[in-house]
Amino acid sequence: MRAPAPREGGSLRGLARWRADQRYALREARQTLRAQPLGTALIVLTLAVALLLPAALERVLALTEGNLAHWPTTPRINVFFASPEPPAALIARWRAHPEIGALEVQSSEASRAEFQAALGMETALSRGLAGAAMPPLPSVVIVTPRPEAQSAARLKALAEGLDREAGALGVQVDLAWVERLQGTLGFFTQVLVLFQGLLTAAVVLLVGALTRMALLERLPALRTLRLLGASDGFLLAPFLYQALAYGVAGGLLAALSLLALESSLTPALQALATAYALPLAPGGSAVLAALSVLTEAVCFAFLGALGAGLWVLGRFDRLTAPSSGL
Amino acid sequence: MIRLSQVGKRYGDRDALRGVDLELPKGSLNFLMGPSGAGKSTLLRLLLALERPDAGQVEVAGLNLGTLPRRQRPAYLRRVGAVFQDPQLLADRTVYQNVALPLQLAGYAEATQGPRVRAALGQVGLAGAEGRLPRALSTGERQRVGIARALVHRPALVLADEPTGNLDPALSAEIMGLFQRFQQVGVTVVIATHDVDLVQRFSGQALHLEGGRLVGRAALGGVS
Repeated sequence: MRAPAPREGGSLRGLARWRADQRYALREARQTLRAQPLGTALIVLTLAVALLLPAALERVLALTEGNLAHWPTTPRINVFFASPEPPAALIARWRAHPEIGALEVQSSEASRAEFQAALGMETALSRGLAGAAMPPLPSVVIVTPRPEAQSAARLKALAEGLDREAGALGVQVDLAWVERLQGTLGFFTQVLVLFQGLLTAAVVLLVGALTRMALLERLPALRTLRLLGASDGFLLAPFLYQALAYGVAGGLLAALSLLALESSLTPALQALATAYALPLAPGGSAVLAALSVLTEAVCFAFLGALGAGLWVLGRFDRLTAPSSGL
Repeated sequence: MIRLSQVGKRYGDRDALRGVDLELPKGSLNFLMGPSGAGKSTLLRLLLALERPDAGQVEVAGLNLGTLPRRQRPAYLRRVGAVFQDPQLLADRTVYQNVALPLQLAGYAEATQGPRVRAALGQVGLAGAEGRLPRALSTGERQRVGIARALVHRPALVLADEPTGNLDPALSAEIMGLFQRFQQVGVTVVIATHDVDLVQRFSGQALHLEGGRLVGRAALGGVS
């Protein structure tokens, strides 16, 4: 009676014993899952949707942020002049301006050539313009402020100052949209973190609640097993395997859906980037993101089941009222 | 085999057991008798290490169950056979799977489980019932499956709580006969029962509990 394990022939020890117990738990889990195929499918689908939503949003944000890094982010101010060339004296003065880092001068003729190139020489409009007397385009000075003068307030002040110069038709501050986009992305990143937290909690709670219900449903059987000498680990193992199966299936479905989603959206994004003459950066590996979803699914499902299992086993004696005097 | 010294157990303000002293030798057949609330089930729960005594000591084969750490309880239970009034079979498992559970828990290789399960079922008269589900069995057959499950791993101690409570007299005698056969091969058997007439037919000793106290013990003649 002192020895914790039998010493008779046929009994297993160590790793062989552990493997036999795991095989038993796996069989139990498989039997339970097979007994309720529709319920299992619905749980897997729910997990997949809960995992896919934040993952997809995260991919879109990663893609956008990744591309922003490749797009020009230094603000520039375009100052337009009616004359074919911007005034040379003004250019000389601006070169000495303490807030201006670089200047690029573009004559009216150069603007026209760039415009035609942008249209493409083969287009009907371009061919028409080449033969017609095209109205003159303004000359431009492209001003790049020094890094220390690139804050929104100083940029605005500098643009207003340049706009007041004699001969200037007007100014256009580039990249304001990038700033706005970055601000919007920052906001959505915060929303995503919140969203991820909530849906992660949902996955953990869903699997936890399912495991708790399954354990409570099988309390009489578990009580019998315990009276026969089953350890807590033995009792819990089938439920943990069941949760792992939910996690693997839900995670795989979410990961594959994510890859499919990305693959179907990439051409549209590519077209959008081309329209803005910008490169489309991949924004991190989609496969890694999919693997991350799968790993998260398995971990969250396992954690949920483990938490519920420990909760039930911690209250086991209170939850199981003896039915036979024992 | 079993020694109880001044064992006491309280539930709230009620004494379930008071000052129980008892020694049960290895290979003995013992009947715990007494009215409801006498303390029979409490005593069995202490012997199954499901409860700890509030006073005194409970020893089984030199193991002090009062100080047995909770994590060692499963290992102890795997060495004991337990039979309940309701056999508590797993409804979705076959007779074979139910009887094989203690072997599975004790770490027996699957290949060695079959012969033992079939032998245990043969001993209780259920050879050939391996593939049946509990719902397809009669009350008596279910109880016999419960007994086969308690004995399949050849425990040194079998504890039974009202094992014949739901059975007719003929079947009850048959079940008690099974316990006697196991006692005869060296198993210590402790059975809680109300059935005085049935007990008179077996050799062993009757232990009378009343109000949580051991008020008498008597050797049984065994007229069957």
